[in-house]
Amino acid sequence: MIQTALTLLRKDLRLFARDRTALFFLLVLPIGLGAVMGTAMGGGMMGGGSKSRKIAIAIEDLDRTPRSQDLVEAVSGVSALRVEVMSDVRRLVADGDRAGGLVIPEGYGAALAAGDAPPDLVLYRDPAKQIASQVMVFQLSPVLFQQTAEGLGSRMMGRVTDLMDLPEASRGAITRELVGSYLRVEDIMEGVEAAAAEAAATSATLAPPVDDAGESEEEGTDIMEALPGLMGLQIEDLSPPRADGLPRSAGASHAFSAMAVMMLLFNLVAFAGTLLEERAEGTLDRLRLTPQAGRAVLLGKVMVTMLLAIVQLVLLFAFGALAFKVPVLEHLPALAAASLIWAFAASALGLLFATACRTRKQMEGLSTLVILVMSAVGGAWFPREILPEWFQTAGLVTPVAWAMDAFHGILWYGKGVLSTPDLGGVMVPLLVLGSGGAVMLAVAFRLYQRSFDSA
Amino acid sequence: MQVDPTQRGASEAGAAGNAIEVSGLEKAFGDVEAVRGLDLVVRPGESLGLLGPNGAGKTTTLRILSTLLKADAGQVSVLGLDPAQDGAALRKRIGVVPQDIALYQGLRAEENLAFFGELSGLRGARLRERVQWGLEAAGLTERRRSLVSEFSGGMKRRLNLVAALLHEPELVFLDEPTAGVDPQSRNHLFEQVEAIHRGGTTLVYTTHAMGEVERLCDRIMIMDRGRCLAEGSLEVLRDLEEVRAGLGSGLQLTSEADLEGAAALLREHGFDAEVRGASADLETIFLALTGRALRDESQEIPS
Repeated sequence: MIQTALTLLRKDLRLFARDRTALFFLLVLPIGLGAVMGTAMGGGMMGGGSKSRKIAIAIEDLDRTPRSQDLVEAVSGVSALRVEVMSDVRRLVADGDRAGGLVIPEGYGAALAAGDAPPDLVLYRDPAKQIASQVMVFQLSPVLFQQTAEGLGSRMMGRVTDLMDLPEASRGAITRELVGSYLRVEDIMEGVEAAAAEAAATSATLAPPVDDAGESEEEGTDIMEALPGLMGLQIEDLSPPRADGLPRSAGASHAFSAMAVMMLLFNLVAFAGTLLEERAEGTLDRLRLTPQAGRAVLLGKVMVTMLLAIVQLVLLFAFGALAFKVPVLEHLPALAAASLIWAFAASALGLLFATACRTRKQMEGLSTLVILVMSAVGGAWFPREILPEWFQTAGLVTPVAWAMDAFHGILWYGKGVLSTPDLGGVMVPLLVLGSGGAVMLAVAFRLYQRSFDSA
Repeated sequence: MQVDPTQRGASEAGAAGNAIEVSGLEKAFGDVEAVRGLDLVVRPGESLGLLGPNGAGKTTTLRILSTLLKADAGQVSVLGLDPAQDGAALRKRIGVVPQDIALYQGLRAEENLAFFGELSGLRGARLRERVQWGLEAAGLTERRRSLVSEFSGGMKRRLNLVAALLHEPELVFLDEPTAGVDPQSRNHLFEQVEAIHRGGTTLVYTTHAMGEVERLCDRIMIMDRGRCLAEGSLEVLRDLEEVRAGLGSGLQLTSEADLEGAAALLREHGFDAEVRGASADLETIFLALTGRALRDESQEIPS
């Protein structure tokens, strides 16, 4: 019996070793995906690459004084941040173009020069990009402490007496007492600064710390929540309003956008593969022999893949709206436009695979790798802003990144197709997807003509 | 042996009204020369048997004639049209029964016929009428609503045949249409093919079943390595020198009178002999012309 089993084993190993697709899935795919995931999340192969992981922060300097410029320079010196000095940062953050934007108000430099407490800086954050915005606060902390040190004592004392709601008469004595303990407060701040630096070094572990019982350490959260106020920083999360007043869920919007993008690609590529199946079975030749088929064969495939795509998207978004309150009806026209264009682009990509490959097995191996890598790089697995910069740039050559921008822009940011004075639109991603789809389809037709067509 | 065109098709070659006229046809796939300078004429209403071992170039020739492939060189005219230039017009007038069972396994029998009928330009009542004809001709009326995947090999072959005939083509290419079926289905298929031939349809028939060609074809062409070795009626092929030499040693008598004379001579010498004429069958002719060496195609020719 053992001898028979060994004979069967040898047969299966021989067959497996000659199946190039099986070898690809066994050996190449896991290594390829591991390399992509490792680079995305861990920094890079051979331990390098982490230097390119930077969070983009927009700074709007309304003060335009040497002090405010010093602050911009200091923030620019933070290795984990990539500073872009821009105007209208609130809208940029509201549009989802930046994870956060810092506004230095007018009078900031003058107040510091006078030894007064400067007006609060304002940090606008995108709640859909929690990881990036939390990293931002951690990274800004040491800089802001240093920059506002001169006014820190009086600012802190004022805040504390406000919090204690003391009678006006006793405030002077209390303030003197508190100022006397300022040095001790400074010690505490140094400790916080060191903690922030440590947190920045391990930016991947950004969830609130959890104790052994599985509960968050509330004390730590309090310090973190109080920290911005002590630094003279106002934080405003720009959560887009919902027409129906229900709370928004960035996670649900991202998840359904990602499913709409990634799963559609898998399904459409698989369906487009029926072209290769028909070629192998001989029905494609039979179609080509009919007087009226000709290149309508490929057009028919485009139409049916688009139809299937639309059915899948409708079902997916209907489920998202019903079960997860994804604001589908609120943005129906824009969502319909994005769905149509994405269905077209994804169908074109599927047909490109089907016409570029010679066998279905070949197509399955290649398309699986390409779709998974595109999904990782394009932001369907995790937000693009936490990826290394070169990864984010590479993502822009994939249709996944543009489709994610379109769907997430609509479902989370509430964007329409066209820009409005308050909000950008998703016209650019849709144009890129539409034109990219047209190019892919043209190439697919050309390949079909070369490899399948004749007279 | 390359037959001199002047000896066979010369009277037809170039003559107006031939169903197929081919001269100097060439087609290569990389280094593999599939067809090398082929000349061919098929008259309207004729049934041509195209024979050859594996890799002889039969299927490549059929694919060129039926618009699926472009020739590298040579002149090709099918029903007066150039397959490379007038593909769409030609496809309306020809039918091709492929070697593979090219049907949608997930569709019912009648759905397959309706689909191919519609793509062949049939509509409405005419389409329904032809689908009904197809089901009857294939002997599948009772199974019209069954999925093709549930059919036996013979049932699929019958449906595969009629799917190519729905639009009543003038010329039909049949590429091994009876491969792998039981004798009953083969006989049924054959009767259908004979029926359309009797109706005046021109046929080009490739197969490895020599008996089918003997039964059906008016003329036979034997190909090997992309060339025509011999061509003519069965009687003409039997008379070829190579074939006669291939029959081996023995007494060869060329007329009925000689047969009778030989029998009389044997009786005179006390033998109770009956002398019957024996003629080479097509398989013998085929082997005499193409040899007995195995033809294992190791190099794939793109379909």
